[in-house]
Amino acid sequence: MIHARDVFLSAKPTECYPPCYLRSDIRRLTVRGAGPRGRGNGILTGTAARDPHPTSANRPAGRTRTDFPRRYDSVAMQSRRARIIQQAQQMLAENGVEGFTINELSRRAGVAQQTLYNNLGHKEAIIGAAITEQHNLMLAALPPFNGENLAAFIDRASLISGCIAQLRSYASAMVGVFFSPSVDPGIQARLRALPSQSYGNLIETARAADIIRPLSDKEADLLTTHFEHLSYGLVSDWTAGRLTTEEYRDEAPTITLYALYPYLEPHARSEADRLIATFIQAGRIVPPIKAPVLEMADPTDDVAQGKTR
Amino acid sequence: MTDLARGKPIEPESDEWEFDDGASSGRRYDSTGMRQRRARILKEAQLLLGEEGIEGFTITKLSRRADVAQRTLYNSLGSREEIIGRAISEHYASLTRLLPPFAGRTIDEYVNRASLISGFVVQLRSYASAMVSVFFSPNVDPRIYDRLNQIPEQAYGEVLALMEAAGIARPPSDRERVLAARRMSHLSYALVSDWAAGRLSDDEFRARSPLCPLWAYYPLMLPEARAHADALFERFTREGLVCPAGDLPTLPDGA
Repeated sequence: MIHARDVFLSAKPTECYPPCYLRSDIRRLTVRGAGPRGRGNGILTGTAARDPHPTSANRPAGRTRTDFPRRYDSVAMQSRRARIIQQAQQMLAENGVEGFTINELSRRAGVAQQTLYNNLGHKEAIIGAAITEQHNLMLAALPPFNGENLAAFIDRASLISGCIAQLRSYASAMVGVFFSPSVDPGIQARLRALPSQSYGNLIETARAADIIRPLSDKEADLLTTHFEHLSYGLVSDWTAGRLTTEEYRDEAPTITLYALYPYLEPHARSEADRLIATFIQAGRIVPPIKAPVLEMADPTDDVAQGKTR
Repeated sequence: MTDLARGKPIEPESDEWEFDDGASSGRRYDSTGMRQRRARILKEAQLLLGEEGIEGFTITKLSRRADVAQRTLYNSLGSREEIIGRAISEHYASLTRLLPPFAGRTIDEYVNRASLISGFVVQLRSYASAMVSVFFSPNVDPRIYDRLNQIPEQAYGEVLALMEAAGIARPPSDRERVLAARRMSHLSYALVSDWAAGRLSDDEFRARSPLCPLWAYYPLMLPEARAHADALFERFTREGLVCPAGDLPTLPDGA
C-alpha cells in the first residue's frame, strides 16, 4: 500500500508541491487520508486504537510517542534515512561541522533539501543524529559491557580505543567540535555524552560493580566532566599526531583509571595502583584488544587494513 | 570585565622610527628603544591573536598594526610561528610577574594559586578562547603547542618537585610526570573551553579552576594530602566552590 507521506517524502525536488510540508502536515494528511487503516474519508473513527499513526488525541495513555514507528516504518524510508545519516557522517569526517552544509548533504544523499528537513530536522539535529548513530553503530559492534571489575573497564577502554582508532578523521573532526568556542549546545551535549555511554553509563556501571563509592549528583557531574575532558584531550593528542595510534591505544585505559581515581573504593584503588604500576613499568596495562572492523573505517587507516604497528 | 582584545586601547608610544618628538630623543636605536619595539610587537601580536585567532594571524597584519616593516619582524623575532609562540610566552610571563611568589607547601596554596590565575583568565576571554582553539587544533604547529602545553604546569613553578619537597606527592617516574602534566593541561584547557563557549559562567569557571590541579595530581598525592583534597572536593560539591574566589587581580598594563 502506498502511504501518502511516502509519496511526499520520496518526491524529487521538482515534484515537491507545495514545497514546504511540515512534519505535522504530513502526519495529519496521512492519518486523515491514506493511513493504512484509515477509512479513506478523511475522518478518524473507531480505528484510533489500532491506528499506527495516532495523534495526541487518540494516543493510548501511558505510551509515549516513540513507541510508535510513525515516520520511518517503511523499508524505503529506513534505507533513505540510513543513507542520509551515512553521508552526513562521512561529510563530518571530511570537513568537520563548519564545512557541513545541507546543500551538499542533499546532493550527496540524492534527496531534496526539504526532505532532509522533514525527515531529520534542522542542520544541527542532523549532525547530532549522525554523531549519535555513529556511536551506536560502534557500540552495536562491541560485546555487551558488564563491567564487573576494574580490569573489565580497562579491556573496554582498549576496545573502544580500537574502534576510535579506525575513525581518525571523524574523531579529529569531533575533537574540533567538542572544543569549539562556537559549537551548537545540542551537538556539544551529544558529544559530551559519548565517553560515558561507551561503558553503559560510566558511573552507574562502576557503582553497580562497587568500584566507586556512592556519589551525589554533583560528584557524578564532576567525575563525568573530568572523564570527558581527559578522553577528548587524549584523542586530540592522537589526531594531532603527538601520540602514535599505538601510544593512544596503550594510554586510553589510563584515562578511565585516572578519571575514576578520586572516587574509587579502597579495594578498587589498590587495584588501580597495581594497574598504573603495570602501565608505568610495561608501557601498557593490557595489549591492545582487537576491535571489530567498523563500516566507516578510514580506508588509509592501519587498523582498518589489519596492519600492526 | 576587561576584554583584552576589544577593551583597553593601547597607549600611544613614541615611535623610534618616525620623527623625533623630543621625548624619545637620543634613544632611538639604543637597546631600550629596541626592547620597547619588541614589547610593542609582542603586545600587538597578543591582541591580534585574541581578535583573529591563529588562522587570522598574518605577518602583514602584525606589521601594519605594530607599524614595523615585515623584514624587521622576521629579523627581530623570527618566523610567524616563533612570533606567535613568543607572544604567548611573553603574555604569560607578564601575568606571572604579578603573581606573588609561590612556595607550594600546602594544598591550599595550589588551590589559591589556581583561583588567582583563573581571575586573570576571565579578563582575557577572546585571547583565552583563541588559545583553547589552538591547543586542541589538529594542525597546530608543535612549537606553539609546546608553549601552550607548558603554561598550566608552569603556573605552579616546578609543580611536582614542589609537591614532593612539601610531602604532598610521592616522587613520580618520568612517565608519570608526563601523564600528570598532560592531565593538568587537558583539564585546564578543557575547562577554559567550557567557559569560553559559554557553558560555564565566570564565577563557575573560577570556582572549578582549583579542581584541575587537585584532580590532575591526585593519583600522585600522599595520604594526608589526599584527605585534604577529598575534603576540598566535598566542599565543592556541597558549596559549589573550593575556596573564595576573591577579587579580580589587576591585569598588567596593556596586557
